[in-house]
Amino acid sequence: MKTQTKIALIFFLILLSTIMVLSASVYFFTTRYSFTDFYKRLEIRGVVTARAELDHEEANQTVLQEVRELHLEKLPEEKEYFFKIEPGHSFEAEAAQLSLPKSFFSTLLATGSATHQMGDIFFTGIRYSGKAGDYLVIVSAANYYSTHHLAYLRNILLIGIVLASAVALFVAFVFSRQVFTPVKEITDKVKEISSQSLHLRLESGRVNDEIGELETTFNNMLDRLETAFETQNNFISNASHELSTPLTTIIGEAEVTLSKSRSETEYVESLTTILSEAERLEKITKSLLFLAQTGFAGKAQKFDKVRVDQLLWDVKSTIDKINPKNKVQINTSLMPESPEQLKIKGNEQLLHLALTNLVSNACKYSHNKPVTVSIGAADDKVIIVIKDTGVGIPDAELKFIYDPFFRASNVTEYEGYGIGLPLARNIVRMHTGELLVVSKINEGTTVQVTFPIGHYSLG
Amino acid sequence: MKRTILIPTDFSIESLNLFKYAAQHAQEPLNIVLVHGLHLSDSIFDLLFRTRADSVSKLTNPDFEDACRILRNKYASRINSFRIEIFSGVTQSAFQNFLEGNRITEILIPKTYTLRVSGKSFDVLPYLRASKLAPQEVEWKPIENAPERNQLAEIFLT
Repeated sequence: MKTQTKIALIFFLILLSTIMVLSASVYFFTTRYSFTDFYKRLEIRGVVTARAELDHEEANQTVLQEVRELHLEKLPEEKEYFFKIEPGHSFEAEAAQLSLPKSFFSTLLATGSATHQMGDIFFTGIRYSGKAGDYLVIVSAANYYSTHHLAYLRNILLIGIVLASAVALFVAFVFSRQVFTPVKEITDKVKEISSQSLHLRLESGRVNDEIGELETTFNNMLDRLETAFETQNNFISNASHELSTPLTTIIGEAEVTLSKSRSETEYVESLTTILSEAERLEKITKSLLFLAQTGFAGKAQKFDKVRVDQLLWDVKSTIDKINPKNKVQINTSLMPESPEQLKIKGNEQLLHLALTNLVSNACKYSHNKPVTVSIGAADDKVIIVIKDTGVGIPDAELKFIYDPFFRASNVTEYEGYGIGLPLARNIVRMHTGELLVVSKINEGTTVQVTFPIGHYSLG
Repeated sequence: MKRTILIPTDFSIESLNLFKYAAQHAQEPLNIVLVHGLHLSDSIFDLLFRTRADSVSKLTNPDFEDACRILRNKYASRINSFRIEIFSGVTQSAFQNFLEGNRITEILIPKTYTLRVSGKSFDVLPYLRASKLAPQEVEWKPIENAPERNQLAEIFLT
């Protein structure tokens, strides 16, 4: 069943049950009230009649007669019965005569009043003590109101329920259609967007409502999809280019060498070239493999306590080995007093690799100008800032720097494959950290790495 | 009596250089009060229900807060207390009251840096300069063109 129909039906059922409950309670309470009221009326008649018939007061009798005639109109099938109460009399015969249950008389004798209903005829009995002695007065009459008015009320309510449910059904369907119109519109629009037309977006007119949010979410998702598609395309073209360059060199070198017989030195020379190109190829594929491995979220890495300041000194000594001309300075001026705030949860080898990549990039693209590595800690995160004064990254290319094999247009003179930064970002992401790169061309680049604090206590 | 230093702020990282200077030159634990000038709102709703913390959280940004935390962690043993106050007065005597109310003993102001104000904020420097506490001026080298301008990284590099 469609959600639209479901909502319409639920809406309708809620309305219908409310109407039913209301009608039923109106009917029930009216009936009850009319019964109590009628018994009361019979009781009054009983008292008036008893005084008139039994007490034989000349003066009062005419007055009471008048009251009866003027104010108490004769009810349909009104009948009065008087029974004198005598000790030991059980009223069984009277009960049989009026076909009333015996319990009626016993209640009447015990409490002084009793009521009974037999079809349309209602009975009220009272105990009357007058001058002539104690009597039981029983008045019976047909309840015209209950038979006719209540039936009329019932009919009105039934017809009302039918009409109201027809209206409710109509409103429910209109309402649910109204609710789902924007959703249907979105569905129609999203259907138009395929992998060939990823640039299309939903027009988001509404801003603050849920549907507007849905549209924005869709658009954001499309943004990401489009970027992912582009990245994929870029990756393939860059990767094939990077891999094919050394291969072309190897093949060309081999072909030229094989074209005729050479001297031994020439063979050695060409084999050396081939070897160095093959090594380069191996390096690229290895780093590519590593990138793929760190990109997978599924593979669980062993995380342990890592002290960030220690890590940075290790990174510096590694860089010193690789590139003795570097000018890396570790700036501890904002290092927190408590070492507790420097401990993060992570995999030391991976973090070492990521930071080495970032710092060596900073050295490489600034021709070994000074690079500052600063460290600081807020209450819940450790911040590492790596600043160089190198060539920088052009603004337009800043969004591509995390694409594997991407190299900015101004770094052609430097050696590299464009894998270091994506790798570093993968590693930082594995540690639920954040990598932020800001750059100005020819001014330098600042990389800010943030890791959540590990909450290790001292000792 | 503990020293309580008043420092003007515009919620930029650069203005925290004053904070850094105060902490660096402190010998004993300090109370640091950052002050920002903000006119009272015209809206009755704001006057009734908006607290000072609300207006601060509206003006501040995560980078600024992190920078404050970094400085507080760095100088943890030299900072006794740190808070941000809003000054909404107009007259110099109102400012004098503000100083007395917060038990300020010293004032630091920048020599060349000007506070960037927008919206309902206003520059508190004139009040600070005119106060009887003889503000101390601090000079630092501005970084205009660095890529990390207005980023959290700025706090590390000035």
